[in-house]
Amino acid sequence: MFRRRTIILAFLFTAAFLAMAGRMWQLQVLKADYYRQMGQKRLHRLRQIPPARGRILDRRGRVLAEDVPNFELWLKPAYYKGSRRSSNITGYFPELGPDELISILKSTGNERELKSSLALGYLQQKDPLVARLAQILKNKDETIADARQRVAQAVLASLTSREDTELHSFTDSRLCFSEIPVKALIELEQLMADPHSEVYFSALSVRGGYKRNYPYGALMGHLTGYTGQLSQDEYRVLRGRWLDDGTLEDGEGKIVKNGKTFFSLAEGSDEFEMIQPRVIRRSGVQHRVKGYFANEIVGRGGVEQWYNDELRGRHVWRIEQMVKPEPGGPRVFVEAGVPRQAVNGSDITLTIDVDFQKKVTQIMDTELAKLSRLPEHQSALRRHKLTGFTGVAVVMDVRNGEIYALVSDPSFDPNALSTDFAKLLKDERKPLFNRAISGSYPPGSTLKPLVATAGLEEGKITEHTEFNCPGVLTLGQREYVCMNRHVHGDITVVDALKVSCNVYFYHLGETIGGKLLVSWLSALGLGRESGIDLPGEASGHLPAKAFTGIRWSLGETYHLAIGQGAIDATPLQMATAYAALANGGDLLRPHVRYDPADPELNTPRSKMRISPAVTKVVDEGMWKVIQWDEYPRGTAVKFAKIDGFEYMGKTGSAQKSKRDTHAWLCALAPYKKPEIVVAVLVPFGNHGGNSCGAIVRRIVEAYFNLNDRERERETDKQDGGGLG
Amino acid sequence: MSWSEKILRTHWFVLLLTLAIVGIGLYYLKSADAGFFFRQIRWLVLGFTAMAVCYLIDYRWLLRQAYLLYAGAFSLLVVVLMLPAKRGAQSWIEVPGTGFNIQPSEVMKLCIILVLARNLMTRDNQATIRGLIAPFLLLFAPLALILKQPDLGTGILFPPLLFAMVYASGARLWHLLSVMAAGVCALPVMWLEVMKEYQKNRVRAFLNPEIYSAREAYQLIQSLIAIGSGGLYGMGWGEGSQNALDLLPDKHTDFIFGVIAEEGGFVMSATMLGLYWLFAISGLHISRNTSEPGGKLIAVGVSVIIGFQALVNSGVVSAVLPTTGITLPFISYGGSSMIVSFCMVGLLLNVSSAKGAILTRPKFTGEVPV
Repeated sequence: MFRRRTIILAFLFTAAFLAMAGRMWQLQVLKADYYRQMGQKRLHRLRQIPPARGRILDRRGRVLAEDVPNFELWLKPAYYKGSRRSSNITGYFPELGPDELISILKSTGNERELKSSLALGYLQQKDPLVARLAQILKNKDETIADARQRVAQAVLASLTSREDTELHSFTDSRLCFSEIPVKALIELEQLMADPHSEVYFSALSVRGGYKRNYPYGALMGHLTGYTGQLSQDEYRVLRGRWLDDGTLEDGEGKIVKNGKTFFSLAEGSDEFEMIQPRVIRRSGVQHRVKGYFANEIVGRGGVEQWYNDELRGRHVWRIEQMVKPEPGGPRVFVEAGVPRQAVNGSDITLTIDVDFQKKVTQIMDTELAKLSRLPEHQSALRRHKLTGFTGVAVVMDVRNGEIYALVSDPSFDPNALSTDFAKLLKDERKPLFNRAISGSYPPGSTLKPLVATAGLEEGKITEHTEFNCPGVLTLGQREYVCMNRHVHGDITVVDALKVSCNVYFYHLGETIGGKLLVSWLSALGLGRESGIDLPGEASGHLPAKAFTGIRWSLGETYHLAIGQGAIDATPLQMATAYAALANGGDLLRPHVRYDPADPELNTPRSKMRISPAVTKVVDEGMWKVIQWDEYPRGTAVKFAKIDGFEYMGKTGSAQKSKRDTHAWLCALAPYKKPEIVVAVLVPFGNHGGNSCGAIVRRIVEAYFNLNDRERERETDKQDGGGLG
Repeated sequence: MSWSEKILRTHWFVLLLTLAIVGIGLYYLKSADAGFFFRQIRWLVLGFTAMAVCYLIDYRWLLRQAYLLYAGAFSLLVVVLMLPAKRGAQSWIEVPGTGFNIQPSEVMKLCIILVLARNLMTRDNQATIRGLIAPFLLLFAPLALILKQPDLGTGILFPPLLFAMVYASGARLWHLLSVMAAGVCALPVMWLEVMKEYQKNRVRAFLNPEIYSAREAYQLIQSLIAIGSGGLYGMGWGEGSQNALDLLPDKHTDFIFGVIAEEGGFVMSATMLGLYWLFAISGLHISRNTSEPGGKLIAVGVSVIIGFQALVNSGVVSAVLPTTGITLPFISYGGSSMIVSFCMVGLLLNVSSAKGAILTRPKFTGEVPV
């Protein structure tokens, strides 16, 4: 019995071992290909290689924005989400936002699981860098900036010490799934009170990338704009998918034919470029992801946004294979197969001259600071809780619409946007707001040359037509006054421009008629976008033509004729309108991209005929505004006049409300054959000539290199002078 | 019997089998991790020494000391539960000054064979339920402590060991089957009351590897890939990508079979299984040819432990069984396991070459020695 039992045990063992060998046969012979493929799939991955974004250059080739090589820390959150998604190793979609991460980590069950996870210990033990980063990021006393700096140092030190590893994709890759930038996590760190938050960093990787650098910082902030990552919402809309018949289905199921866009990042660009549709598999269905990828960097504001399609370049998908350069070292991914390069973005050259832009900005800064110190401006500043005046200066070539300088003071530094953002939002002066193109203001008396041109061109008045100005015009029970009820007596158009006589223009407006006046102003570009190649342009306001027929009173025509009431314009629109006066009626398309060959940019939007005779009369009036130094003086003579250089312009003191007046001065220089238009606005600056005169003068001097003649005037003699 | 006489009577086949397993194991351990290869050689030296000791001393003396050894091992199991946990389990006692960690459950593996042999050889009532009480108590008391640590990998060997030994010493089959049935009935209770969450997850992952592929089943899937990509002839030594890229966790310890299968292919994995099978069969053969009941039972115990451990380990690695944390005898890196395995070989050789008085009662129902 004993002997037989031993034999029975032997048979049992034999059977068990045979079964085990059978299992091995099944795995290693029958299913060998399946597992080999599965293994290969896991050793390879597709990675998106970002292109370097194109540079932005000024008209002399100086770099305004460029991509500089940079290392990025990335985290793979799929690990934390666990299970289901992770089998899809080629998924790069950051569907797990920081909020989800927080909630996952806060649910205690998972937290404990994460803490005890073998992977964490394994990685921290295997990879000193991960451990070090965890240490750095765990330190709660540090500010974000400090932490970032130290992280960067640690990463760099680590990378330079491993020469042969492929820097682009140094990664532990134990679980390489979707990734979100660790930047978000550093902020997330602040939210977490949990001292064990190093768990985040068990799936870190470091990769090469680019950082956008703006060498001139705030000087060009409004022009260049900045860049940022595609948000998850945007991405949801932008990814869409291509159907077999070539139509595109967006996230909401809308179908757009022939690959035409349903969404464009940059306003005005109506083509959506599809780049390398990539096939991914999810739950058995084939999706083609078009154009934009998750995490893609896109332009926000300025040229970065407007010309995003040209600047962004093309990503490529690279096939990478996991290797281990040295035993015991980190695993890295290196490129497998045919090398593929991302196509870098194209450069964009601007019409801006950095030196000139810098000069204009300096002029604005110093003059606005001077104004802000003057006692008569204190109540206005206090009323609007401003620490100092804001200001706009637009300098444009009247012959082709090239913008030489576009300053909206204060500006912001795109390099430091992420750190300064809260501060910028809190600033009452709204540094992020580009007043030059997005701010609508009543143009006030700067409109008068346009009205005068309309009157003369339509034949309603001549050079010699006189209207009597008793200082006030009464219509029904309302009084329409000249500035300070100044009595100008019988006055012609030239002198009316010189002293900015309101009553003259009330009469002129009445003579022209509201409807015709509006159509003239509209033809000069008011009430519609100027078409500048920058996003966020305001269209200003002009009463609609239909509206003029219905409830339009004469009083409203009066107001309109002096640039008040139902009219708003951006400084850029005023510059464009003045340019049209100067070039004989061409309404140019103002632009910041330097490309003389581009018909889109360089062809006038519309052409009117303004006869030289009319121009001569209006020019004389505007010349007197700046140059006429005998009583009654031109309204801008006091601060704007340059000895030995003649130019012309028109002031505006546009009433925003009873107490608030915006100061304007639009100038054309030189007098005989204008080259540039300078439009300057100081919101709440009160008197146009006084507040903007010096700014315009110095800009003109800077442009024509009149520096040797530049002189400082006493700023304590503020009273007197002309009328606005 | 002098030592030289004993050595001449050595069961060379078992010794060669062991050396073959050890040699192949070392070869692939070097591929898996060269650092551990050299440290393993240190353990092998200690293991051979332990084997020599267990071989050369009279195993009957050991049987006489069985209860004492058992008590010692048991107290170690108690002590280890009072120490703080390391790596999530209270399984190791650090020997002060050496840095060497003793694993009391491994020690108990050895002692339980001796004590069961000692207990069963001296009685003849194994065919009754009453006769089963003592061996069951002897086994389940330490088993409870081992499961408490928790060390499921070692613990899982104990019940088969008990069943094989009491069966070999004359227990009725239907008794044992009833007990097994009762054990199966107790499984839901185990699931609800005894098993820890991570152990449950291992079972869940085992049942649904795709869903748990991120964490629990990660190792399983990597292991399956390693085995499967080995194919018939293997990818060659040092060429396995799962191995070279460190994608297979614990590849130098519990999952070394994955490395062998990947680099040696089906040829090598079947060879390894064959070697373990030969070892177990040889052990049972030694038992069959030994007339002395104590030696018979020791041989059965050693065969069952080594054979079953190899089976469970390869079963885990090939995803036939849930992950338990069990080493592959003679191959996996680790001191306690290695030394204890070699002690067992020493005992087996000892039994096979022993010759002498029979230490039993005359009434013993086993076959009457000649």
